[in-house]
Amino acid sequence: MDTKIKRLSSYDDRDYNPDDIEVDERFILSKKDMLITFTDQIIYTFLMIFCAYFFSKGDPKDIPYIFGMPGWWFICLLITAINIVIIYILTHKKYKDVDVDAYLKKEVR
Amino acid sequence: MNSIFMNYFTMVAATTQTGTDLSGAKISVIITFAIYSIAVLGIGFYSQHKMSKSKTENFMDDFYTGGRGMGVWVLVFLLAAGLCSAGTFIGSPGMAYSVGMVFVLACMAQSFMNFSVLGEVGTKVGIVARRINAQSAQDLLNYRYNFNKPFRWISAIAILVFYTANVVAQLTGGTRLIQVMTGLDYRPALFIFGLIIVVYTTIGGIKGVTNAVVFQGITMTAAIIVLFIVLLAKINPMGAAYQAIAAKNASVVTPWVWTPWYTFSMFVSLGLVTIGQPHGLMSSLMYKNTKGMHRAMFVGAIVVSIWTAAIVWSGNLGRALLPNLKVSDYVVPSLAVYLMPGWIAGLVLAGVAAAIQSTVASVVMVISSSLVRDIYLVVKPTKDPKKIKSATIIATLIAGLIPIIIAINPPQLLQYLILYAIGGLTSSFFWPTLLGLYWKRTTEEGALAGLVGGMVFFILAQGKYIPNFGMHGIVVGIVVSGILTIGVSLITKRPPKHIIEVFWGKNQPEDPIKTM
Repeated sequence: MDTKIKRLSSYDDRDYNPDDIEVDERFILSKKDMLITFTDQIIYTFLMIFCAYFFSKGDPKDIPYIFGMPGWWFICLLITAINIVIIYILTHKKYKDVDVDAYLKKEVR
Repeated sequence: MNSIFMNYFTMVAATTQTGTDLSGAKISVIITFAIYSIAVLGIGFYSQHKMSKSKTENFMDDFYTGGRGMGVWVLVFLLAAGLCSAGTFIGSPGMAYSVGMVFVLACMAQSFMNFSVLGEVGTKVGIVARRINAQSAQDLLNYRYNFNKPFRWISAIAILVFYTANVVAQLTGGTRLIQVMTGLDYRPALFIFGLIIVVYTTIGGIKGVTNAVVFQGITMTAAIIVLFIVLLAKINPMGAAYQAIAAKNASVVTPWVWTPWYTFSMFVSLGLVTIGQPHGLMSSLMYKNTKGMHRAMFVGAIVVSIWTAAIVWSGNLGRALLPNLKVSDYVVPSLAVYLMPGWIAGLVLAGVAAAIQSTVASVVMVISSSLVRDIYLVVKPTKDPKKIKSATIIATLIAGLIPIIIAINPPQLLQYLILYAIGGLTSSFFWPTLLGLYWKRTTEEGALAGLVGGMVFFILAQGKYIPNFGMHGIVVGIVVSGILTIGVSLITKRPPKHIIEVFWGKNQPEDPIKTM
């Protein structure tokens, strides 16, 4: 959007040391959450694909069945159910609740 | 789902407009569908009543983000019903019918969309959005990338063109189904179906969308669960059903019809890169607190995995009862109409309508906000609240009406746009969104390179102009986009200090930060 506000000269400074900016702890937590989430998703992806293909090897006419459904699909449903439990643990125990106000301390630097 | 599979649906439907007779339960279908439609309209007017209390000065904030106070169920369904569309209800069961169980496997990748979107970016987007008063994911990216003009214009145009194409596809697909199930003509069906969305988005804003989305989510859930349970009862015992299915065509019960690599690329496209879809990010801008967000991640995992497993699997199980369908995309409605009581057929049509309307509505909000904030206010900057208010309403009308007008007689070119729409947007936005939020060094030039490169290489790979390594084109698009975003960022100057302060800093910068 159009910003017609008087800027300090340092405003568009590109020669600064990014480590000088004190990082909000909430963003450190959110980065950790992001990495955990991706890890879970990637493990789920590989586990699903591995089990689906591993337990359906051979002639499709002879694949094993569990409870009347293709065995590999039953295992995939099981993995999905387990991942829901893992998600429960992650979202209720692991991920910390934070205040989402713009700034925690309203003081100006 | 991601409407990656809508194209199959629309293409097949386009060639066989009335090739299937699904009017077996006309009266009950019409009644159920009418009840659903009237309820959604009622919710729209109720939301307008609330919206009219909002002050003119805050109109745009209230219209697009509703005061950032959304609770668990709204979050669950805004994300889930917004992302799950005709693809989940129609296209994917159709593919599970024709391609087989491997497609059900691939669709399971979307089960944890709430968990992945909110877990990956929810907290950060929520806080930064409050810092800069962002009304959309676009606002956030534009700020992060220093209001870089090419980035802004290209992303706005990509959103307008690709999302409009997607909305047209959804509307056409839904209307064809209403047509074959109720016997209405195409145009009246389209107008009733489409105008309902225009009404409740325009008068209710995001409040209309979120109030409607909970009702739509419940309708979808009810339709899926009822259909699935009745189907299981009909084919019982399942073992015999699968024997019959496998005896006729054994390939539909094994994943081996696709290579593991191709299945992997489908998992990428449907699951791992969901944050690349701008309308999927809406809920991260609106939640009230992280407690509700965390609960929504868990509840959403249950809801979407049940939706996906039950409805897409039904498409494959349907082979046991209807082995010779001409139009595989109509497997779910055909099961309901041919084998179940009329009210279930009506409920299924209402479920499909709910899935489509909730997606279209959230996409209309993204298009509308892009029209106002990236185009109108850039071309004609104004601070007059009255002008902004009318611009917001007009933009929403335009965003909703143009797809309906195009859907009256969809042009040929549209097929190509639909084919590339969602994959193109995802390939473009995934890395600029993720790295913009978590890597300080990402620059506007890097993001621009990733945006354009992702789109171009996805289209080239998906269209087989360049090798796609036996995978869905999105993998090539994502890889190229990532390399470009990181590479170009490293050779360009780091972003201005104030941006890093806003996106990472603990303390409020002394400069006033305004985005409007």
